[in-house]
Amino acid sequence: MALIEVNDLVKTYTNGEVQTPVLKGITTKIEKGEFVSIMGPSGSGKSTFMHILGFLDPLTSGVYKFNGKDVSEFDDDARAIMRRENLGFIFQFFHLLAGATVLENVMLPLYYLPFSLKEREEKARRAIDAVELTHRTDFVSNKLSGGEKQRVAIARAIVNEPSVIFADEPTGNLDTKTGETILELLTKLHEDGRTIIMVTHEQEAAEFSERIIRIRDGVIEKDERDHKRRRGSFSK
Amino acid sequence: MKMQDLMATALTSLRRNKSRSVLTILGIVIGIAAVILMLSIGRSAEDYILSEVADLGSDLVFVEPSSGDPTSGPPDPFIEQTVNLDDVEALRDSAFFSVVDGSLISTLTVSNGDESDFVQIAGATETYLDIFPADFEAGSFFSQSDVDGYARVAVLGKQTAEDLFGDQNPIDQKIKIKKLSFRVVGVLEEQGTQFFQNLDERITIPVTTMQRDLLGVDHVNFISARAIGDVEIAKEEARYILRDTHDIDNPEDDIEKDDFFVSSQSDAVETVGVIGSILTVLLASIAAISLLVGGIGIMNIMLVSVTERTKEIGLRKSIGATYKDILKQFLVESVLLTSVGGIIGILIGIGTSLLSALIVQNFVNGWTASLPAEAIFLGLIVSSIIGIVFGLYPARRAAKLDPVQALRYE
Repeated sequence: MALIEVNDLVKTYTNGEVQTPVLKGITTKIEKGEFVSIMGPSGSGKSTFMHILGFLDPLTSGVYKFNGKDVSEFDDDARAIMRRENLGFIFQFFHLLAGATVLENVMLPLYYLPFSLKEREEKARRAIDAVELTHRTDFVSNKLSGGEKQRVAIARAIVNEPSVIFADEPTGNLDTKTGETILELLTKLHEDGRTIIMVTHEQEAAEFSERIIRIRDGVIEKDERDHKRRRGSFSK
Repeated sequence: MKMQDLMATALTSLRRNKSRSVLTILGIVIGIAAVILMLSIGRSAEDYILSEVADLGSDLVFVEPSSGDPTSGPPDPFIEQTVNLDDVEALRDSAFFSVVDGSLISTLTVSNGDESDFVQIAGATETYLDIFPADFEAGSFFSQSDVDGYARVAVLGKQTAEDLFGDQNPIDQKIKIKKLSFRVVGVLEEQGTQFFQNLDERITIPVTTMQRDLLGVDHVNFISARAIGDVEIAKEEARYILRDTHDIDNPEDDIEKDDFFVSSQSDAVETVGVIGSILTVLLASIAAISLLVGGIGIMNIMLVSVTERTKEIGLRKSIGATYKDILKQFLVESVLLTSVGGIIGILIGIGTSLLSALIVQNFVNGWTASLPAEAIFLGLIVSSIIGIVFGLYPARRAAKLDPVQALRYE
């Protein structure tokens, strides 16, 4: 059973009378433990695809099965609960709470889950250790470098032990060298058994994953499986 | 999200915008403090008046001139003066009253050598002290024969005696009231204020002398009498007697037909009660308006806060916050703001109430501080309700944000 399975997925944005089709029927499967890149030019629908897979946006039609369960008709609250229990997000612009410490930022998703304060702190510290930021635990997040901020975001994304990690252009706001370390970190998380779905428009970043789904004009143009992953010598 | 987490989150975010939070709650602080202060002063005034009334005794009956319905509208300063000493005599003949006095009050120039001042002069009969008791520092009150004989004698209040004579003994000295010479026969002990009037700055003379020699009138401003037995029956008796002396045919006992009005201390107590409730309604409206303004301020700032924190809301939603989670987060924040404002307002209100009572005590004898307990309790509830009512719209706006749009917000 695939972790994610979509069948003829359609997304149409309606603005008054105007209907804009963004995804025009996508069918694919993503297995547990895969590291998948979703690529495509601007306006191809790759971000929308990720938002639907990540339960941030509802689909217009088609079928979305998560862990074998049909989640196509989930309402806002049901999708929010899916996100808190099963997903982790990494964004291009980090989206950390500016005045809060690294620890507080990483603990944030656990506020919406039934953990005690002690459990939250333990889990957050473990996640911070995993991204090698132990020495920054009590730093205020806006005093950190870009690479460190993204590491905090990654720690925040893994703190709830999600089934899937969604990364939306995770290196888009970092210099080449720092971007590379972030991709190395994602690779390591993948090697530890985590499922990662990354949206990127950089071929070099996509090279780190083992499968690349190319989207153009709202449909899958190409699905490159068993991609030979490269490591190091990453350059933009 | 658990309540303690919501509180902690709200506190953190309010602390991060300290000066803004303080300015935001100022409206609520001032509103609540003002209501408590005003209610406290109103309550103290009511207590004061009621205790003054009680001091004089509940058997006091007053007769004043009146036209039409005296219970409606303010007193008419140009009212026709219809009550006179014949009425006093008639009431004295009645078995329903133990003592009766007719008084005439006016402010006139008083001098002793070079010392000259405007002083309140009370014309009274020899029974005045049986109604408004006072002790003597020196001398005694004037007698019935002084009243009957238009004697030019005067009894001084303590302050007036000091103003006019300094350290000298005023007894048997002469003072001039409106250029007429009066002999001082008595000086009263310090009395302080009564119904907001300073009795120590007053001169009492025979009412007959005042009528004929000083003012050239034959009326009195009011008659005061002590009733024997039931006050209501005594009042009715007084009305019958005065209708007789005034030749008013009023068998149906319609007080609008009378040219006088009879009241008692218990009526005064009732009036104070009515004034008290009017004051309360008035204060409540002022409070409602000021708290409405404060509430709108809260709503405004919460809307700004929601806009500023759009990305944070987007993030919270993306990591799994539901509509309710975000709604609660912002509601807790606004309720925390307003209830902290309410508590500060209550403390300031109590402080200023006590302070104002201390100040007034310097001028008015028997004034006490009074803290309106129910207003303090209500202030706490009202300020929390304002937080909910005016925080709801911004909180709903935050909770309804689409996570994808919110994260992209610049």
